[in-house]
Amino acid sequence: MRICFYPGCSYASTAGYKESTEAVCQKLGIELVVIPDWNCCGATVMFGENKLRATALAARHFALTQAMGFEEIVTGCNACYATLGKAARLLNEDAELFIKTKDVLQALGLTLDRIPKIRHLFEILTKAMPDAPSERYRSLSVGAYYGCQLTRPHQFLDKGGYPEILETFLERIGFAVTDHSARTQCCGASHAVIYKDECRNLSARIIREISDKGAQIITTICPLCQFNLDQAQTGDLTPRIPVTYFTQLAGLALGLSATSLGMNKLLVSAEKVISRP
Amino acid sequence: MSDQTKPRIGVYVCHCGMNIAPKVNVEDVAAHAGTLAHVVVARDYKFMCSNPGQDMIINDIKSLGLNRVVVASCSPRMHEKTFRNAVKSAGLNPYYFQMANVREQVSWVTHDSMDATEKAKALTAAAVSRVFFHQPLSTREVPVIKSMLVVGGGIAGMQSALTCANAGYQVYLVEREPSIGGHMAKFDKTFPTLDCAACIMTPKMVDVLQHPNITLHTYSEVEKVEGFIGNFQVTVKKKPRYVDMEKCTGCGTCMEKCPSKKISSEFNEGLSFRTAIFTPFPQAVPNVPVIDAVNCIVLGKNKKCGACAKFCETKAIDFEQKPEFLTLDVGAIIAATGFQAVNPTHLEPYGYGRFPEVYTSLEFERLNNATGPTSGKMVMKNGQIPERVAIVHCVGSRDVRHKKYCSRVCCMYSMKFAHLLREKTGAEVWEFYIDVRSPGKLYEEFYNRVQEEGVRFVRGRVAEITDMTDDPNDKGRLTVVAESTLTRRTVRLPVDMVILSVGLEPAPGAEDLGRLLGVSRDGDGWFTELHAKLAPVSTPMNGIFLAGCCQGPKDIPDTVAQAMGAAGEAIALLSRGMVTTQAEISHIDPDLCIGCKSCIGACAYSAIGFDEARRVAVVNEALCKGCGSCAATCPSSSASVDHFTDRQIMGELERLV
Amino acid sequence: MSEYKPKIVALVCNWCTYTAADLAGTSRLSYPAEIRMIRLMCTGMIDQKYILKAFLDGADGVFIGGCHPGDCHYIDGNIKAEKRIGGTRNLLSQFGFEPDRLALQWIGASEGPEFQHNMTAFVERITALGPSQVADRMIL
Repeated sequence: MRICFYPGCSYASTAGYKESTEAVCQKLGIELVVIPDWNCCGATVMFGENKLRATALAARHFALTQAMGFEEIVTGCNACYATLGKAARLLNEDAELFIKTKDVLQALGLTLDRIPKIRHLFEILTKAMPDAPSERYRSLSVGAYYGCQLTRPHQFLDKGGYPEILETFLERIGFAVTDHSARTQCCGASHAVIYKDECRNLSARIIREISDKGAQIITTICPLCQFNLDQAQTGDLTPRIPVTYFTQLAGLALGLSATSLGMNKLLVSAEKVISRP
Repeated sequence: MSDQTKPRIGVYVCHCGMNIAPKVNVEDVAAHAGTLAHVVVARDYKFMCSNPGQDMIINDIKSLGLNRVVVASCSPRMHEKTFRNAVKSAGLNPYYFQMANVREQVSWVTHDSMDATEKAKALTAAAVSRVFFHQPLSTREVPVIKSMLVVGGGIAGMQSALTCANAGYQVYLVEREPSIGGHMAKFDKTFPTLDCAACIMTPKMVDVLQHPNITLHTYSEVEKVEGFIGNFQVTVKKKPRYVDMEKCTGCGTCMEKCPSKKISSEFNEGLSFRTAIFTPFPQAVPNVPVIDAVNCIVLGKNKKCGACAKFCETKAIDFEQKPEFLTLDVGAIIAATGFQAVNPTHLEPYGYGRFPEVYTSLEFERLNNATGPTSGKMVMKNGQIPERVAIVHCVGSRDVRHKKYCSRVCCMYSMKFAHLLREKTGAEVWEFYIDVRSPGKLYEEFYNRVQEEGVRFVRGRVAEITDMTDDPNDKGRLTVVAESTLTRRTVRLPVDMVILSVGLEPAPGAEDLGRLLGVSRDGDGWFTELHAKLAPVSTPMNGIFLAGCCQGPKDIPDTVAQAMGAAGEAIALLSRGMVTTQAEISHIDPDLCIGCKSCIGACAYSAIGFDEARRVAVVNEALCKGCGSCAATCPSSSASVDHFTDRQIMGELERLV
Repeated sequence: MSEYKPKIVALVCNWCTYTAADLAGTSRLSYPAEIRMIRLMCTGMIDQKYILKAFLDGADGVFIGGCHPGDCHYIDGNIKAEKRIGGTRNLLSQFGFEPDRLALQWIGASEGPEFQHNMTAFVERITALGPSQVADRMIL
């Protein structure tokens, strides 16, 4: 299977998301075709700034995808997923905006006729992963953390307040899951750069909750979430609990080595937890 | 025209005080109307609907020999009847009248005065053109059946039934649950007076059961409604109770013996169990149990049991009972189907269904009730008394994502809960509200009272209820997260119990009943009254009235008042004894009919039959509602609705553009 | 030189759209004066010939307003109307006229603002289409 992949800005720079995604996809026979010359998705900031610009910024990828002959864009970042999804929805609903956006893209020498479907990498892996490839981690308790943008504001994948798709996925591929109440709590997102102390408190609350409820390891689905939760543990606010990507756990289930999944880049080491779950 | 006399038309343009004039130049409209063919006189006047206005018409008919009248004023929905009566009192057939709506459709909605005047002229000219073709029509008087049906046995239906029965009319009260009583039977205290709900409710239930003029059909549903005002035929389905109502003494032995004991009690909102043969609550009326066929070992699982039958001394258990269908002839119908509380499960951030100590208001009513699962003790699931309780207002109400409307009762019952909690447990009570709405007699005083009793009020919609705690000492408690909009701070309040003050929505099945009755529902699903202010208990369907929450959320005093109002309307109809049939019904001209039967298929009321001898379709006047589906379908133009004939509509069309 | 003002006939059901129009009136929700309304008991009584007659008399647009499906006072007159009016639209286009000059909308009794919105939008639509050729061509 070949998929059109939009990496987004934090994909390559985080603790093994790129490594684990590529390793898992290779193992599952999924070819990631990265959009050439991709740009910033605009994140949450651009839509507050200027609707047309924000839409055009995201829609540039729609035109590139069209040129590549794909009908779908897959991304692994919740913010990219929400932003591209918003642009796609606006273009589908607003004919005038569509025409204006086309004009903008035309000036760049790009053609846009159809809006691709926006998919999350999670959807692709959910379909592709086999049932419990290994029983090795059956007693490893995972606390799944969704972050804010996967199910909100649009509840495409699951209900907004108390999603369960990650738990279902993890149980299916061979992990135990911990029920907890921090699933969609705010981690501080990009504010962590400016309001460091406030955001550290937010992230710490999430870690305490998941750890208190008995999880041995946390898994996230968004680069910024992983970063915030991992680095919040550098102080003494929280217990130490490794924060992984769901792709890393999928890789472990598939029998790949922790290093090949980039897990050596985690700030809180997962080595102990995964070596004897 | 078939008429011998030449049309002599009078046109009257109303100023409606300052409502039509000066936006519309009424003098100009009248002058223009005066130039139209067959118009004998055209005048304008301050208030056409006033006595002098009507007298002007009557005098002109008599002195100028008018035989057609047009009034350009408000909506015919407002005053058509008034003017028809005026025309009639001058000795003219009331259908020689047409109205042009130059207020609702012109002066109130048009910016430009010139445009308004032009439009008023066109509408008036069209009315003149139409009235030219009007025919005299007659109505018949038919007797009204002196009995009535009430659908729903909550406080609204019971009150309506009692009022009508006390007036001497036969009342059929149909309730789909095994007992009457409705939601009010679940309450312990009522705001703001805190009187005991059971003390005022149970005697009424017994009155309903014992009233010689009331026939009670519980565990029954309306299946079909036919006929028209004064003459409805209603089919009621009596669901099988599997208990013979005549033989049962209500001793309760069957319930003691039933082995299926772990069925969630609907009446206790799932907070306790009941048996498969059960009465919803001990004071049920009638005090005859029903067997829940799904959970019964014999009926549901097709296995051997029959414990109830074995121990029943009067042999009242009958597993062979089948549904029964009754036909009731009634003159009037009152719908009193009430509401259901919004189920907050889908509001995931509130954790209902996940956290055991998050209750809905109805669940809390049961916790507070002496006949409830805890015998009225306000305790948590672990048996302990809560130290701090949060009450969350507007759950599902006043929220664009759910119900936009205010459910009207939640603020008051929330404060009732707060008072009772303070009184019974001494717990700290926090109310999270958007606005406190306490408009009602002694309601604001009650608000002040609970504030004085130490109840805390935080203005802000609750964002989340979570079991995440910041302080390890609060482990096991819930945390209410909200923004206090008055202090502009985020509140994270650890509590032991949360009550969600859920809003009201139409009862399940209201949609089906609305369809059966022909009563429309508004965007939120409540039944639509005929007029929001002046006909709040009537519906556009003559002879069908509304009582209680089925028309919109309301508290008990308002419900009872409305129930009595609906009863009053029904009594007025029944005691009048006669109704006038509609004049606007369909006719099929046998000379033009080609016998294709298209109209028969088009008629939604089966009001058209076929005369095999003459090979023509024939309208049954008693069944025809005048909708005109036949007329629009007829290929030979033989079918037409009186007062909406082709010539009349074409006449109106001709002068409109 | 005056700006083009279309002539528009609205054939509406007494129970919902006419009531919505009254509500728009009492709520003072203004809309273009070009709308001229005829009250009928049900959209189900609208014969094709009324629509054609309106066009032949010089209307540039005909708007039909009925109850939402399921809300018809006469059970399903509105559904019959919908089917019939679909046929009339075909008829118009077969004769070379813009079928968009004929519109059918469901406007409930409580929908005063929707009534206003629909009227304004329909007048805009017909204004954009310009004067109807139906009446002229029929004479030929």
